[in-house]
Amino acid sequence: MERKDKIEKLIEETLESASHIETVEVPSLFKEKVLNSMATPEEITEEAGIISWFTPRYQVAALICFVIVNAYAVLQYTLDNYEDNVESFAEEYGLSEAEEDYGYTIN
Amino acid sequence: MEEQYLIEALRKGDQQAYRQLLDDYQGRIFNTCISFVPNKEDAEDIAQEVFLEVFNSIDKFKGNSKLSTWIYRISVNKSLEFIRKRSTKKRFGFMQSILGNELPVDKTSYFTEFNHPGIQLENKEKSEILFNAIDKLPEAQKVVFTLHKIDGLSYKEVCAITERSLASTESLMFRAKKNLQGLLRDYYVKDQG
Repeated sequence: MERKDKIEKLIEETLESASHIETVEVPSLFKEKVLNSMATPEEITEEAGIISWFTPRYQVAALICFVIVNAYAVLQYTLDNYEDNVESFAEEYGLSEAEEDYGYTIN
Repeated sequence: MEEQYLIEALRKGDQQAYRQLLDDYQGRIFNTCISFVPNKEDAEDIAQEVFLEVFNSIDKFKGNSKLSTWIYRISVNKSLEFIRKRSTKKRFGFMQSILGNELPVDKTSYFTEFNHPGIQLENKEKSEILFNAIDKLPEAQKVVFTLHKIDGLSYKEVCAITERSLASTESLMFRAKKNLQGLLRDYYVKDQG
């Protein structure tokens, strides 16, 4: 019980510590540092500008295009392969049109 | 009206206006940043970024809110961005330590070292514990609690910055306090155990 009270008191004191925080003075030369860094970032923004147009919206659009093109390519490839497979299967088992004709030719 | 002149001058790139803005806001912005990240050097870096962002995107300021509110919003976002980056680095550092490549990353806090000049020595330990507990709160609660309790802004100002109603802000404060009590209880139970 005593331990519990002690912990509750510590919690209260810790939360209360927030109200003892005093206002802090700005570091000396802060203003000069900001004004100086304002004069230099031109180059950085210029460099960043090269790809800055490639925003997440364009990135998603590019990704969707990539997925669609790939899906189409895979689909086409499977369809072509399917026809080839059927053809070679038919040839192997004598089911193709040419062989059937040959089989029924009577001299 | 004076604010309108200042905004117009900033848009024209007037150096005197930049100086004026810095004079008016550097104290408030630095104190907001140090309220989120209790380290003088880190807060200074964030505050610098805030002013650069203000100068670079003053054209995007539509005037729907007060200039001060807009600048406060940038400060909150920049501070949260800093904390998120530090947390990611911390996670990355943890992964590196698992893989055996130790990185010199602070694994205990989201700030490099607790160094808040506005905290007196006798409160330093408790304040550090409090800041670490605040960091574990959900972001919305963290923002409201920090702005009101640490930075000392009024509910009205917090509502304007976070674009929330008074009821919503009060509710977030209530939940933040409750969660902090829980987090601190867990900490002290382990510590006293």
